[in-house]
Amino acid sequence: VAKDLLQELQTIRANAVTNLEAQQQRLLADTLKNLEQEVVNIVSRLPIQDGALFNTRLAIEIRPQLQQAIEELYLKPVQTFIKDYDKIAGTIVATYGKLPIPPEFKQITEADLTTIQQLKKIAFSQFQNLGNEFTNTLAQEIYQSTLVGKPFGDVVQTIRDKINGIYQQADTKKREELVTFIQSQKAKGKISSPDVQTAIDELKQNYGSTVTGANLYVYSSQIVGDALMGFDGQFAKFRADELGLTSYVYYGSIIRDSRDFCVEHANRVFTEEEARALWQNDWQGKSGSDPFLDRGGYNCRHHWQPVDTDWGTIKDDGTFEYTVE
Amino acid sequence: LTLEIGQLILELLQQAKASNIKSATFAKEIDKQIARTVIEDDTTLEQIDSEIDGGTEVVGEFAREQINLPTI
Repeated sequence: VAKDLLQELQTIRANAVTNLEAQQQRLLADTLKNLEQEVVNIVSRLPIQDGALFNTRLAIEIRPQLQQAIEELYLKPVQTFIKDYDKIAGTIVATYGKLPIPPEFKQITEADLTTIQQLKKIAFSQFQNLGNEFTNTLAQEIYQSTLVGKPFGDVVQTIRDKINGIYQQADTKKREELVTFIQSQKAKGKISSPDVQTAIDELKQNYGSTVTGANLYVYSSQIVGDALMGFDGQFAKFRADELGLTSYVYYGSIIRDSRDFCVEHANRVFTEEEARALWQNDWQGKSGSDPFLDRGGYNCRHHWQPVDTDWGTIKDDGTFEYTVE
Repeated sequence: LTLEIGQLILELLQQAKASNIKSATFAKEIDKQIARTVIEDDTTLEQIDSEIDGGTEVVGEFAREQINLPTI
């Protein structure tokens, strides 16, 4: 196993995840724009009296339509995102195929297919729960607004806020440009760059006065990233267990806002036991105590790369260097 | 059907559709019933049935499919 090849395999896997996430973040933005418009259309079909919704019976009965819109325009597109996890599974198996492992593990096995199917269901359930929660949120908003006679324009604004927050469909060209710029940069993983932060600040300052709390876009965007990374991590771990590999390199690039924990442990090699013990500690940005599920925390870009310690040497600082030629 | 009864049936069917029963057969049958409540033309209904039967995907269900490995 050549040193360069092993490093290249790590990079291929990380790039596959990054590229798929970028694609899915772009699609998510489009998906939620469509959903926002459809929900506004549904509410706009309710009768209005003196500038406000007034029929509470119809406001209650609108719920199935909201649920159907969430299913058709949110969950079905998300389902296609998750089907694309096959690309990540394929990349993981293909990269393992370049390693000195038994030939039967160089292809997708029956056990792999079962695991992939289950992991997809788990990933999807996160979106499904969120979809259900937001169906309730929107239904309650419409009913309560009808009950108290909230002006219809404000109801529509609240719905847009709850679905897309500051990224809602714009009524001015300048706002549209800011939203498009931020979402395109986000899809490229450049959310923390100064230009993007400036654009977000401008958007919040000038257009975000009505937006309070989180929204479907913010939660979904986070799940798009974390579910994909979670799938990648869990499937790679499953394969490592199948192969009997017991050591893992905590691999990934360091960016400006990387957690101190990730900076400190990047490229270090751990046994599973060591990783599990270390993950019992606390650090800023930690989201859970399972190293393979949670890694550094929300939005963490680090992967666990299974290795055989015979493929390299562990240096004094705990980092792993591939040396096998 | 009177308009009122038609509306009641449609509401009932929409509630059944929203009940999230994990069955492709159930979902397809409800979709067909909804179509019958609002469409009368037999030829159009036949085409709708065929389109409903053609779609096998149920939200949240993932088929156990073979995966092609990329060339690395």
